[in-house]
Amino acid sequence: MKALVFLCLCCLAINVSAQDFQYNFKATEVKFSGTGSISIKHDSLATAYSTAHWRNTGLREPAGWSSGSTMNATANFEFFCAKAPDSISIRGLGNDTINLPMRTVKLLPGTGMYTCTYPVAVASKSFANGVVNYYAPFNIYWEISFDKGLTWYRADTTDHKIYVTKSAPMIETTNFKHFHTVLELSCKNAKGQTTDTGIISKCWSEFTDQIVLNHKGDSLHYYKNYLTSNTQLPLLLRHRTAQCYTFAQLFAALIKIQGVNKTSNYVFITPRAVASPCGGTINRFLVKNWSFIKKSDSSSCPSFPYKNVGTTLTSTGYTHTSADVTDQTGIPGSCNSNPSSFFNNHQICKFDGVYYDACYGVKFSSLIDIKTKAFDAWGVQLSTGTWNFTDDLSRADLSETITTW
Amino acid sequence: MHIWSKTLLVLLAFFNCIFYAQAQWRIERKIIIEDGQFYFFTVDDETQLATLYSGLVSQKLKGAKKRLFPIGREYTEPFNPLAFDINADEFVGVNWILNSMNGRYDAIKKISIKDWSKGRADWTNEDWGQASFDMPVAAPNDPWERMLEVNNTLENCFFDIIQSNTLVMGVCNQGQLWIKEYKGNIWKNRAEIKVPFKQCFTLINRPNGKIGLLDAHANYYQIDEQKNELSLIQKGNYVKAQIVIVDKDKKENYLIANEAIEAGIYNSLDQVIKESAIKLH
Repeated sequence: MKALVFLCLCCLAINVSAQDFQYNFKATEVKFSGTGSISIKHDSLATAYSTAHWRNTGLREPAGWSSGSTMNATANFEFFCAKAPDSISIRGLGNDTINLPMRTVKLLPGTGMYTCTYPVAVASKSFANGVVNYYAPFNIYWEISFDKGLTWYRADTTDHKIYVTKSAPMIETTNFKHFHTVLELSCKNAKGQTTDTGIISKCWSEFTDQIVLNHKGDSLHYYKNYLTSNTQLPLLLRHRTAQCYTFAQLFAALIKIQGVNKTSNYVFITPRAVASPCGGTINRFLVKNWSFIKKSDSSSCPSFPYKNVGTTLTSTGYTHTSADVTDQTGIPGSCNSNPSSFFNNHQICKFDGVYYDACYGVKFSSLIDIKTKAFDAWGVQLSTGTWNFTDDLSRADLSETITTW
Repeated sequence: MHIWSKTLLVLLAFFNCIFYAQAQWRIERKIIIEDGQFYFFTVDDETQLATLYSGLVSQKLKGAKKRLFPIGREYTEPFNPLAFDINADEFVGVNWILNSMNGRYDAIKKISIKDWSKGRADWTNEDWGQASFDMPVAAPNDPWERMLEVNNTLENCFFDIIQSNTLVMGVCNQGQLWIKEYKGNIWKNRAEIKVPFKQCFTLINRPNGKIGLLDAHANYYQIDEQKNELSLIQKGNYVKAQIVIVDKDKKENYLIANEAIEAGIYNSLDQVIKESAIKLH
């Protein structure tokens, strides 16, 4: 009899019906927590995302944990029914059978509907230990029961972006934060990896096509503006154009976010300080390709015979009063087919003896390898506003200064 | 106390707090006093560019003239503040801006302060950066190069520079400190000392003509060039960030908390030193 009374008809429009009455049950908010959760930072602000990860208003914010951790979740719901019971049971079914257990909750009367809260609950199992994962999406299928779990009805689905790192990310520093794009690129590429070597290899694949995008799909440019002075990772993520240091930092960050601790991973290269036969110190190099037109100084400086006068850097390239050497399209950089290519120094990564140049998506086995494969010339300034060049790369070598980023 | 007095005190405290919060000078390493003028720098962590503050030591600090200066330093860990000295209107310092066009071998610059007393309102940050790279070289950065020849893996690497009659540079890396002097267009070794530094140090010209060194905990040493060791002069015991005041007029050096400078901006530097600075022997 009581059951029959309970089965009274509701008068509202329905999305779901069970037995002889109709109701509407929808999620309004989901929040995640739990030991091992990662506080993910906005790219632009380096501030943490808010604690609500999903709202029916359209809010979608990512969540992350280190592997072996267990998700905790709480959720709010609205329940539309003319005559609701005092309580209902709720559970959530997630990917990889990571489920949220049944909880029986009270329905509280609101304006035109009822509300209820699924209290913080620990998921039925942890994220697989020691393996990177990337859920895009991690769906939670919310189900409700009116008979304390005997019969379940699918009620609503919430979708989430969830990152799982192999180990706890390395501690944040001034320029290394647990940025959204860092987690996105690292976990997406290294999904399924269980070893440091595998993680490095898969994260590197993000750079090899010279198209590096942030978590929204926007391009991260290597020298979109030749005049950019952005040299730290937060500035690359905020402004999306930057110098070489930031791409090396980005690659290193993709590794660090997985908790992979590699020291001496950050290499500053510059011409070894030697004097040129014409005077001055060799302190510039040209990255391919440059066109060598004529040797204006073949008599006065045969070792560095190519001369550019009045070189000015603009936002899109170089202008000269006169030039024996001119920039051509050569080695493309990230999201830039012809980036800046006249430098004093460059920044790359080094893992397990291999040099990784994230700006161009290329690897090198040695410093000499960098010189021979990537450079067209060395440069020296013999007078103000004048640069002389040689295409004889044997005249100088690179030196490296190694730090840990 | 009369209610109006109390009200006035509350208002004064309120405005002092606002100005204190607004000032927020993070002074790089030291303040230099010469010919009755003070000079100090702050550096913007994002643009890496330095702002020079100057004024009379007898006038209120808040009236300090400020303008961008063609020098700077990167902000990476471990942090090394701007390394510089000023003598007779000439700035000498290390331009450690991180930029693909800035060479470390040519980073020790000398710049006339007078030439840069006026701002360049139409300059962009990139213009300032480029100008800093092109500043005249005071000396080749051989101390840095020689340090890399010994060990090119940097760990707890810091440096500083001072100038009196000659230029002196200190560079440390992996627990080894070199003190070198630039004289007659060549760099000469003054000392090589094992040090436990995990944070930056500051070199100081002592009144006795010797070189002093302040570590990050404000322990004050004299560099013993005979024994190649640091001799402790004054033990530091400070919780707050300290900066050095180099008074070249009185030939005295002081230590003061950065926040004491900020709190005293309505006073003259002379007054602030009297009230809050500790003399270094």
